[in-house]
Amino acid sequence: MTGIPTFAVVGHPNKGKSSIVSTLAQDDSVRIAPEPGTTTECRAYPMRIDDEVQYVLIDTPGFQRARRALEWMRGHETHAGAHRAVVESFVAEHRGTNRFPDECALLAPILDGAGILYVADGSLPYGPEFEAEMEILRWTGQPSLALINPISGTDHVEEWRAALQQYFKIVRVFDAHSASFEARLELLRGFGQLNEAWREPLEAAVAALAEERDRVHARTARTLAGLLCDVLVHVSTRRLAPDADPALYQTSLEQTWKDELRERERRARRDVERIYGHRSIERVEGGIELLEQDLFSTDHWFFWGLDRRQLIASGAAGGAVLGGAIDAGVGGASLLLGSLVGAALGGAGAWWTSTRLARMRVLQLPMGGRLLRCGPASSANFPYVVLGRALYHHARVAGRAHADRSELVLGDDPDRANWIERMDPGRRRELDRIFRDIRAGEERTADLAECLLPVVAEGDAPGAARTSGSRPAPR
Amino acid sequence: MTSTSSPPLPRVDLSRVVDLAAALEADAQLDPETLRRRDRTLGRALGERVEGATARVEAWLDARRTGAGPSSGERALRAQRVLRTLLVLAGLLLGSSTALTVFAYDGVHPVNVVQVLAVFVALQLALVAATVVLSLPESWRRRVPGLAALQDVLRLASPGRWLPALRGLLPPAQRDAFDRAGALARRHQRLYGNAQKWSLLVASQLFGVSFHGAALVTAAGLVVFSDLAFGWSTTLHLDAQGLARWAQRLALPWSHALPDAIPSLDLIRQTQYFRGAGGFSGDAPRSAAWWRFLLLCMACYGLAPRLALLTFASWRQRAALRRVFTTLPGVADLRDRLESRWVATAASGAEAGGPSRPGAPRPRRVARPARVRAVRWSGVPIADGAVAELVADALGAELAGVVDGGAGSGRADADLVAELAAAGDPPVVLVKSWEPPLYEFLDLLGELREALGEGTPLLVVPLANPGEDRWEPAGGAHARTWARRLDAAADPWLEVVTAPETVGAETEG
Repeated sequence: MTGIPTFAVVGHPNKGKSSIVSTLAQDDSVRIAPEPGTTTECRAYPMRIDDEVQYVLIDTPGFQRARRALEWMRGHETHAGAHRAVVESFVAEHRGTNRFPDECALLAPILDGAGILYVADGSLPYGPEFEAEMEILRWTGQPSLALINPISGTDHVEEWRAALQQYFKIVRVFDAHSASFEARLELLRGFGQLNEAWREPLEAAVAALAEERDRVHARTARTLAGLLCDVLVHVSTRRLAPDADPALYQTSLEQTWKDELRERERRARRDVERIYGHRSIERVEGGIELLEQDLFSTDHWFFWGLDRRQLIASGAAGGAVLGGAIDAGVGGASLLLGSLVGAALGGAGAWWTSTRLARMRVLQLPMGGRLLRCGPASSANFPYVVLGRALYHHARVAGRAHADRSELVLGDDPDRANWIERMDPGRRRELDRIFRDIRAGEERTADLAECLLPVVAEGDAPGAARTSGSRPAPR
Repeated sequence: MTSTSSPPLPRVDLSRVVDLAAALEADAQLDPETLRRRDRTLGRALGERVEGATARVEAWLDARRTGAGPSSGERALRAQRVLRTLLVLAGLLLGSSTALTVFAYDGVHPVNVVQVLAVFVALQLALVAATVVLSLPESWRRRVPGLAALQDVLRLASPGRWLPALRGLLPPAQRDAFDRAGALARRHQRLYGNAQKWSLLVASQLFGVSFHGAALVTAAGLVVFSDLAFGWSTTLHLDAQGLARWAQRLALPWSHALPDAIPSLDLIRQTQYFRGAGGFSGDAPRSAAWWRFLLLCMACYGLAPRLALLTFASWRQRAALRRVFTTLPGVADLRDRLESRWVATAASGAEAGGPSRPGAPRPRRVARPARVRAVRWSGVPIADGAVAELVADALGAELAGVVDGGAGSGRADADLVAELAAAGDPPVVLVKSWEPPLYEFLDLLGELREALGEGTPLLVVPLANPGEDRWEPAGGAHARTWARRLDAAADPWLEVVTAPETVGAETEG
């Protein structure tokens, strides 16, 4: 035994051992399936802080031949004080054989000093067939704790509690599929009750996890800030022939614009999920609904890279230079009238000829055309729509246990609109200012992330995420 | 612990920004945990010898560097330097040729002082003013009407804009790197806008400095190596006294240090000429006294402002690049990874064996026996009467008897197998559908088959309990789990009796 708190998660097959490990280790790669025997060997989940292991969770295969194993042990029993030695003999004799592979695998870490976390399903009735495995665990003499995991209901929790209390000093209910972050930390703290020497490293681990959660919020805030900065100024353009009717292209360009926004949103969603350690969520979410009327504008483009405004400015500047020469010629007697008139004529001339220039062709190449532009969305509400959707998704992801493999359905939840309504008015004003600056082309991503951080943290508070809207994973 | 001083880190330039952006973009494809572990390991190593967030990011970038060849950023920087060198050469050429033109003296027409001042002072001051307008902060574009358009137009005329036109002269590798840097800037326009502006101004001022340097050297060369005569002539209403006043104003910066370099009123009067009145009639050697004034004007109003602007623009460019370097998307996350403790809870590596996707159980139906003996396995709480009813309804068979099993010792299981074999009636084992089939149960089936011999039907009924005393063969996921698992026994006379439509129904998503 190394002194590092180690916990073997054991029990009957299909009682949610892997679910508990998945949620506590925040690892959605843990295989969870309705088939018994999905876990075929022990797998360690060390909790590390800068490579220093604080505690280890071990997922184990379930008991498969507990009655016959116990029968063997009873056959070799001498006295109660030698129970552990009998279990050790059992493992020593059967290790490497096909007779009791699962029992040997799950007992090995316990005999190496791991604490026992015995898992039972509180949604199914208790039965005497569980007693053999609990008895074997008792024989090991290791500190133990029982977890009732109500996989699909709490109908039999009390029945289980009564039975488990006869074998385990500590019995807790822990729903691996919906446990909040705080509930997970609380359970980890509870493991410290098994052994006084484990209390301190577990407290350190819990503190580090809580600290890490704050950093997760900051990462999320930066991700959402990046999303908002991008979508606020997002524009899709399409170059058209000079005589083309822009109305014919509006629908397809609007669709392109929406698709690009959607893709950017999807990227942010995936990033937030990865920040929270969810790498395989199947997400169902509708697109952004906008009631914006003035998404489109048209301009002219010219072969040499100018837009109409620049062309007019160039014309005005050219006219001003010529007029300035006349002013200089008359020794300033014209009171800069030449420059002013020249600028006005140059600008007006450029404006008047811009459409004609756009239609010109040189060597069959168009010199210009019309530019149809969709976006950016100018509605004051637009960033709040995007933010509301993002915060809702974040709350659902932050509150989601890693054992939950159901689809994440982000539907029309009435709570979603409330994210913005609940926001502090001062923060709302600050967001308004930042959104305005971003729309004007200023770089405010860091300020936006800082402003969003408390909102994100609030979204991860207990009870912030609704559990409705999940669709069970297909089995 | 004694900390060792780190070597001075290079200044942030274009190559560092391009390399950092490329490294961060490459990292975006990696698993966050892998990144956190890698960068934290590096961050801890750096923590002892590198101080300051930006310095740590730079050190990280150095550590990420692989390969001996130039990085993408270095190639982009080289490309920029080549282009700027071309711009400097163009400035030298143009400055020199302009000076040769303006200071041309054919022995008949003197060098026109007004022309020199117009080209090397008035025009340059106007261009310096334009540069100042271009340098105004981005936030002013919104506040000052017309400024945005004016800046756009001035930018079009800036020599820095010629750089992209010269990119065709670059070797392919540098051209690619230059294009990639341009694409990066376009992608993050909000971030790079300021750095681009100052980069453009640096290039423009390099051109200006080389132009004025070359013009000054050429003019000085002409003064030293040829004889020049100076005069002044203009159609404008300007008399000698007026020009003298302008000359004194222009000479203010050096009037105390070099009083001889201010043209006197006499010199100005004597060197005025009109082409229509027979041209220059002044004293050519005496007119040469203008040269010091003119060269100082070129230095003071042409070269010096450009040098000052070049210094200022370079400083602002460095600041802008440093800002880009520290605010690039992903830098805040990188700093977080470098500076925060790495907290990991997941297992390293994928779970052995790979994900198994269970197939559908094979439909199987064995000949139904007329009489069966039921086994209540593992304490399934069904009463004898209910067993008889179930056997009749689900199997159409008569119940010969009910025995219990699976709750005692291994010896009890062996006795049960012997009893069933001796009884002669095919057994039907009633199990809890909600509990999974264990190897222990598969062992029993194997032992039963051995005892019963081939050909005897062996039925397993996973039970569901929809009501108080109602029992029926289970359907759904539980039943399929039993059917699939018992398929593994490969016993052709074994059937898992489930609710209709359960076996063979494929529901996996």
